[in-house]
Amino acid sequence: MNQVRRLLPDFGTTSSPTSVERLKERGFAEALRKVFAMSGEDIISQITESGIKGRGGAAFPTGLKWSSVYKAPGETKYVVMNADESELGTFKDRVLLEEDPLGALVGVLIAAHAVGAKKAFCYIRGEYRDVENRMAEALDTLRSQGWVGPDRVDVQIRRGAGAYIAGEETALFNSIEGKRPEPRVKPPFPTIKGLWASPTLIQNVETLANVAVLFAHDTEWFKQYGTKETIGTKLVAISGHVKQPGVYEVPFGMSLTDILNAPDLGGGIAGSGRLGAMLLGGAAGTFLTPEEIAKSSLDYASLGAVGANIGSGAVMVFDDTVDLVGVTTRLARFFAEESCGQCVPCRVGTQRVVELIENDGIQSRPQDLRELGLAMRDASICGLGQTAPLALLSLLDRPELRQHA
Amino acid sequence: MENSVTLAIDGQSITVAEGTTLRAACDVAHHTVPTLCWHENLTPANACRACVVEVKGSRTLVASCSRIAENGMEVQTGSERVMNARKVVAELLLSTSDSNLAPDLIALAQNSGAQADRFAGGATWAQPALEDNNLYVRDLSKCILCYRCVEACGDDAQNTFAIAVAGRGFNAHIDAGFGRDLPESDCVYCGNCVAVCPTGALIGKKEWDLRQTGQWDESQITQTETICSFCGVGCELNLHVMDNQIIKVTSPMDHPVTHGMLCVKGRYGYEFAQSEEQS
Amino acid sequence: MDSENGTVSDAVKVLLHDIPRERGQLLPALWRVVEQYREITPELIGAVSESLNIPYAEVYGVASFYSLFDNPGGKMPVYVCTDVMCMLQGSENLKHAAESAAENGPVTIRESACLGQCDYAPAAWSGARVLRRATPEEIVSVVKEAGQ
Repeated sequence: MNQVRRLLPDFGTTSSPTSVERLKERGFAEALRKVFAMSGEDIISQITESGIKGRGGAAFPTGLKWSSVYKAPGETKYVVMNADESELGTFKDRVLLEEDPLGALVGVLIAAHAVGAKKAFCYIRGEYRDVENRMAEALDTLRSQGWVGPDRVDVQIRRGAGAYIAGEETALFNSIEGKRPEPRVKPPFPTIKGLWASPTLIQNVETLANVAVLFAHDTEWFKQYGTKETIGTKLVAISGHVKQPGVYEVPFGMSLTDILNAPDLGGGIAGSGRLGAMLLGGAAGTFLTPEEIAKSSLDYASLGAVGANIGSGAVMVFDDTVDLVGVTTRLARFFAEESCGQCVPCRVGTQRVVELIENDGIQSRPQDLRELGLAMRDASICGLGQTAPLALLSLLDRPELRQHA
Repeated sequence: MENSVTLAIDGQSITVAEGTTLRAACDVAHHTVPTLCWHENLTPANACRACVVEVKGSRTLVASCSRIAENGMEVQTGSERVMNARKVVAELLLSTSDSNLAPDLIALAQNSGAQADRFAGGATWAQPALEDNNLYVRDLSKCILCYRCVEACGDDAQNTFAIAVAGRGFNAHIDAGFGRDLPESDCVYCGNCVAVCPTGALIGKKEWDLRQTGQWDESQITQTETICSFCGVGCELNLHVMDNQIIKVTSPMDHPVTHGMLCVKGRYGYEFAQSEEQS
Repeated sequence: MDSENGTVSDAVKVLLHDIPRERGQLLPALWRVVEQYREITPELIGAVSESLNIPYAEVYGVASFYSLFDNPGGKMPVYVCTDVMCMLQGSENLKHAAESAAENGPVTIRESACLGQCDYAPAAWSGARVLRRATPEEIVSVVKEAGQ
């Protein structure tokens, strides 16, 4: 077995995903009882000891973030679960919330108790209506057990309405506040000045689910998987030309080759049967050649060596017949459609990238595209504009990926 | 010095008061950075990215208009990354908007070595000017979406909120709501949006008409200071006069009472005064 | 016209009666209006602006940002994902089939960015219904159902 089941419930789990029985079966009820008897400091030191890092893409040490919110001056504090999963090729949070919605919500309650927040928001993309319903059911279960409510933590679900950028943490705050979801300038960081200018802890669904399983067990249990630098397991969303696309939980450090080919993971290359390339990390990710894939593993250091990043955990696989320039054109359109329009490099840059690529610019004007891409990467306000050119730049750097098709 | 911070700008050590922005600190060091959306009396919008600088240890470039100086910061105002970003910002704006009446943008383009047509040939903001009232014209083909007008109309000055940014991406634009005309909007015609517009996208009707007919002549314009007599606030007015006619009224941006902002009477009252004289 | 606007304004007030008059309620309020009317119109923006006491231009500025509120004409939208993974799995065919079935009817076909269903590409979506590994035949039946 290459896959692990920790964040995702065991295959033998029988209880319904939103039921009180599930809360018990997964150890979450016990975890809540335990945590609510602990002090904020003790909870946070256990988080720090576990080595959890943010799973939304930035891999910021979770303990450090919680501690920052805990220490930030302010009467009112908020916890936000970011379930606005809209990164292209990313669907891990959807599957996690479908299969075990209580986990991430228990993580929200633990976080709120730890940092001293009385109010929490779960922001979910508007296209995940069925998942939202399931989340609401799970919340009702927690309410019925007395864990959610005005005297504990008030948890509200907020539905997005079709805006990738609203997944950027400060844009998400603006969206909740009823403003245009345009990212804010940082610093100040959300831990100091987040939602309604109050200290705010915002975490990805998967990070919160990690917190829940950590407290349902203990630090030692938590640390049995992963590498020295990156502890634990990661959800990867494999799509495209593999025999078994889907979301899999794997230990950090697993080789990309195993992720693609293991019989209980990707199951091998589909399509032509020959691997052409991988786009790792979503639309904002990096194209890797078969040679780079062969020598890399799911770890920040290993991927850093080939200029890539785990990002959200999207693994998009292309066989050797796919026209990657065509794929890059679609990625460019995605960013042009999803740019908020606030800053010049992203607003106009994403538009010009589309126009240049559609007019054979990768072939005829690589230098202009490169300089434009670097300006977007360096000078955009937020992660959208900064990462929008990365896949393109990675394709420019790998001419061998442009030969077929 | 107490409550001060010391940082290095292009290798030169300077000390500034706590809370000073990097942009202002660069000014002190005589390494002035270019700006487009920044305005002395408005909240930094961080939108144009012309003012970015490189701060050691920061992954991306930093907008100097809003970033506060910190002890020990090492700032570069002319690194390769900064120069590339500045040049591309100018080129992107030139490829999109009509820069004829945008002196800051023209200067940015010249100083950064921008090639005006490098990214030209694609979608632009060309569109007919909106002449829906007698006081000012909205020629949005000149707009660079600097947010200044929105801020002046909103909580930075007027608190009217008649305009906002609408849409998104390349289609983001200034809008009174569903593209409606100003007379149907909440606009009170204070003209403060016009006063802060850096590109002539918002322009007094009189100036617009004179420019359309080729009669606008900067060399013939004189300025006279006066105090507005419509009420007791004491706003200072600069009357811009050409051919014995007031053609525009502004107030100095550094005036302690107005900060450059006026009401409809101060800014456009001359229209009534003149039209009464003529009738 | 006035009386018509009066009707819309009153109807929206009733629709939003239990939503607190707070800026932070704008997104939930817009959702409720769009679920009822399927689109945003100048009258609806005006009614939301009045109900929540938020300037008209700002309500429009927010509403016009979100792609799921962008549905002029107010037909029932069916979204076909045309992003990378669905594109590789034939989303163009799916879209064409859906468009032919929807022609001149009460349903409109809209392209969507990645719907987060890449493990089941190609995908389509309408309300609470997600269509996974969708075939042209299936989408035609969904379009017909959505129109009823």
